[in-house]
Amino acid sequence: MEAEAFDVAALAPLGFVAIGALVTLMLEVVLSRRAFVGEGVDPETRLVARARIGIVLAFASSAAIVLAMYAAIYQFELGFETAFGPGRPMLQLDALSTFATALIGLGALLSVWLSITYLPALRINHGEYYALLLLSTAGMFVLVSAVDLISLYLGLELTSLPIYALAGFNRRRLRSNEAALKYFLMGAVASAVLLYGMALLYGATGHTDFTGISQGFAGGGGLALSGLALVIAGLAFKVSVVPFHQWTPDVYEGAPTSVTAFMAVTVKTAGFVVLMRFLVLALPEMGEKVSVLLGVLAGLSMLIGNLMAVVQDNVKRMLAYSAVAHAGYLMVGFAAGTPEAWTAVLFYLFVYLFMTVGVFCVVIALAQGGREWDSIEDFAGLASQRPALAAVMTLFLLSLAGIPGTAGFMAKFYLVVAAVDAGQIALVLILVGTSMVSFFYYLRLPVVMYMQKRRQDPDAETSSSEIVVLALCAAAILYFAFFAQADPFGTGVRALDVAGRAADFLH
Amino acid sequence: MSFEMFLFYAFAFLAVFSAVAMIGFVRHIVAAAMSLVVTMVSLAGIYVLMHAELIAAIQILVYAGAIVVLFLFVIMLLDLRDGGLGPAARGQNLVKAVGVGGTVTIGTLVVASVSGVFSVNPLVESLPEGFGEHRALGIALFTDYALAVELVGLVLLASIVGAVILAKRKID
Amino acid sequence: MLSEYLGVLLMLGIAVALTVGMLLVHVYLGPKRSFDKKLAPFECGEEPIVSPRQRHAVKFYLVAILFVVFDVEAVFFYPWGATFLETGLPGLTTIAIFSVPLVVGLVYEWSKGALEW
Repeated sequence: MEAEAFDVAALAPLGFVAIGALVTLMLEVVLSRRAFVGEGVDPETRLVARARIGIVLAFASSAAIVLAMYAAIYQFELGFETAFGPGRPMLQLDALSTFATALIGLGALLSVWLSITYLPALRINHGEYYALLLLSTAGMFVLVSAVDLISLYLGLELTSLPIYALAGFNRRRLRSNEAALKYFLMGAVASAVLLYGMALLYGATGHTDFTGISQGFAGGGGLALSGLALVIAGLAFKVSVVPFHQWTPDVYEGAPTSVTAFMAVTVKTAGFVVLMRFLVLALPEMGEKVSVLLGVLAGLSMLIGNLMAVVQDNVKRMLAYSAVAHAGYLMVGFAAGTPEAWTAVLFYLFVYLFMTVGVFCVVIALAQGGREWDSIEDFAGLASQRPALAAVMTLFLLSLAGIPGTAGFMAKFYLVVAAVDAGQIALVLILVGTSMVSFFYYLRLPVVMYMQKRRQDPDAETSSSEIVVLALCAAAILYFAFFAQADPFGTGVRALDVAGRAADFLH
Repeated sequence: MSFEMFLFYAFAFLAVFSAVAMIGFVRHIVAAAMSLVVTMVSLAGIYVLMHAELIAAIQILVYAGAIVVLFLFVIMLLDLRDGGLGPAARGQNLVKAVGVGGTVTIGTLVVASVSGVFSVNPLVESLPEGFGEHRALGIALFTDYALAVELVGLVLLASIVGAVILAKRKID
Repeated sequence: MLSEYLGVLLMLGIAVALTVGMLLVHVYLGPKRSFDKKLAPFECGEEPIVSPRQRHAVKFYLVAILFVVFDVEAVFFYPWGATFLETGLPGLTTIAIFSVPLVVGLVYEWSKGALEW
């Protein structure tokens, strides 16, 4: 039996990250032999050795991610379009998947940089962290190019399993254990729901690939519809859309903050992209029914996310509910379902990456002495002690709130325009109304930072890797606030056009 | 009703019954795990009826064997003094399980009968030669689904690392 | 299709009949002179009656879960071995790549002492 020739180069991003994960794990094994960090070594030496190993591993995983991003961007520029898989297409490499791959790569890269000083600060500097992070990233690369229910499911499991472990990475902290357990149990149920939906879809249509499902759908049928609803529910869990969001606050709060940043950014991107591809490829004719369903999810997420965020006293919990709200905003684009809406959604995900990584980076910069400083009181008077940190935090929060002059405003603006064009007036009204509510909790932190006296006194320095991340995120937010559609430096790249090109390949 | 249909309903009833029993009315938690074994074995029986012999064998080896043993280890690790759940908790569980499971099942059945799925039996005529045997499965896995097999390797690696990092007694 | 399984059913039936039969033979033919020591279950000198709920160490769990992982891995090797001639070199390549992460995982857990008792 001859195997059909296939283009291995198409899988370069996935390959780089997967090999990177294996190499990182082996490096960890070789470097952390017991002579250096074993039982007999005194704690001081061990701590220093661990720190050095961590830097080496962070460098190795950054290299793998950068290579993968480079490959993805190269494929994007070439206009790569190929269905990959020996025999039958499991993955579709096109503008959407390469765009999402680069975006997820960026999120993973920034998360790695956040971890370099944060892990030692929490005394959880174990090399497996980077291997797990890379494995999860590989899963998301699979997810964003999946065109078959089988690759979708495997991608989702490869994404989730490492994150369950990462959420519980701080084993000494009860909340971290709780986060891992909760996320795992809820995730397992979501996987079961997803699988049930897939089984129904396969039973009703006789296909597992998205295009085959769309042909099978032509006959209509309630069985396929219930399968579809279950698949959407399973994916909605991953992107924390109401009513599948209950895990979000506990997991965001309990997980180490670098892990929270990683999953807030990358899993959301991967989940929304695969949902987008699934909806467009598998159900081109289902438009209206599905859009009502998605509209309901969007409205609920915006309302519950924003209202619950108001009453939180912990910054990470507040940001978790804010993540639910932002998932709701993105679902408005899904309910609209036009090419412009997909463009707006992708641009929103792009901007959301910088805002979210930035805001969690500030929380990380405050962590020290084996403890997080993440309650709202911990931020009191921060402006007088670390003015730059307070300033960028304010910028990120304003951007999350969508105040004009930040990239967050532009992202919301394009989303609203696309939704109005598609006639989703009710959802747009909810979006604008709940955004007003969100000002209250987003602006609470700046008020505390600038108006109150310093109560605690953390004297941690912002490390150089954190400064790089913060500067990059802040610069991106300011840049895209004004030049989303312009090209002031003549690079020939306009952010919105890139997102548009990615969205265009769906049709 | 043919004998095969009779066997199918027998296995299906056994699977559902012991699944409900596991949550709802078994007194001791070890007995609940044993009830799960019955569900797993009944599912293996259904797989055999569907001509998926290899899957049936794997179901018994991996699920009824290895995974339930893992459950038992965890139960012993937790060391539940009162022998598991009290009657009140069991009653609540029963209500919840029957409520949720019943709703989903009835919903699916209603939707399925409305859409007329029961009037056709698409699987019986269209089985290719050697369906479900290890050869057909092996060829499909290592040609068309080769990429999926590689992904499974990565998933397994992730679970190894995750298990070691979370369950090892000393990590420093 | 069920006729294929007739042999299996037959064997099951014989096995059950044989077991039950032997037990019955013992009940009817065996001499019955019972006293205290004889009625107590013999367990190699161990105290026969202890609480079944003893706490096990977490290492049992770790070994069990690692066993499950490699059990699942073995499941993939079987269909490959059975179709080695048909799948040929591509199949061999697939299984070789498949085992790389698992070998890495094995080396990892070995060096971390997860297999030490």
